[in-house]
Amino acid sequence: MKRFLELATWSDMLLLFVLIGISFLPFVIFYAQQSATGERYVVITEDRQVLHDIRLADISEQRQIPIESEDGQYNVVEVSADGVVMSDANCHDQICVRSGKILAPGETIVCLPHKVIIEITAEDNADNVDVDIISSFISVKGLYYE
Amino acid sequence: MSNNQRLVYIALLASQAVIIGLVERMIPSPFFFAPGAKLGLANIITCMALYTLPVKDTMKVVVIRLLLQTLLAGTVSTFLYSAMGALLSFIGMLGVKQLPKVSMIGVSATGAVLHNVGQLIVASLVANTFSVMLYLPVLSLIGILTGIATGIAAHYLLHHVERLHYYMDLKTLDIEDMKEVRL
Repeated sequence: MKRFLELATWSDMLLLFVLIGISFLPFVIFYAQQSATGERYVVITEDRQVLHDIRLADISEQRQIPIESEDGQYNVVEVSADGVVMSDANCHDQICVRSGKILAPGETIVCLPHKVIIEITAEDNADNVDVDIISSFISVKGLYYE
Repeated sequence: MSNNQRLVYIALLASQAVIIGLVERMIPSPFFFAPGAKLGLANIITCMALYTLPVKDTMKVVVIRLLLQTLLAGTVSTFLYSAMGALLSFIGMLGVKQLPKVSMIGVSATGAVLHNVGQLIVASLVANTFSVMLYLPVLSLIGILTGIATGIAAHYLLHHVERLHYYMDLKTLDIEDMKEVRL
């Protein structure tokens, strides 16, 4: 083993790292592209029930969505084209109101006392992308397996 | 090296590469989790050609190997995959060989990775989707490992087979001769 390692020079090591970097380049390009063009949705859930599922591109003007439950709890979600913010709530810790504006996919505002969650999601083609890659590759490659 | 000698040497290398490629197809792929990954033992021959022959003749070896392998065990679409892979890996290996202090391990790993890149480029053109390229990390990580292995194998072959030594010396001599002629 030592003899094998002696064959490799430092520039070899450097080269190998560059090659590993190159091989992850498609991921970088793909996800940069997807976050730039992917459709985003605002999903508002209360106690795991989806109340609203709004496409961010459909929102043209600022709009307030009140969420009220029977026992007097209320949250007001303010939705506009440049972000979603919890503008008012009567929960005791006010963490949701202080979380500020969210816009990027994956960001969330959580109001734990009222079990209200606001989430920005990207179009969920990212979930089954793994299957797609491999199956498309097999379908292309498998027919004419080299 | 006389002309006949060179021709025979090119033919020998090409036929060895074809046979190694055919034998490799019979070995069940150890990478069951990654369809399309393979050992790439024929890369040993390309490495040796690169180190013992001038660029033009190395290209001949690669092209002959490509055509023969397609005729013996391939279809038009495998030809597309292998041609793109071989072209890219040949250019890459040639370029990397010029870098200072890069051993055969680096050269052969570059060849393996670029072969995969070429194949996936064709695959994504055929399937008309970029997402095929996302398969690259899997293939190229395996390719780097097998490339290191084939590089070590090629290194030992080149330094322990006396005849190859002789050819390698001839190549450096040829280059020096050419420099003198130019001066």
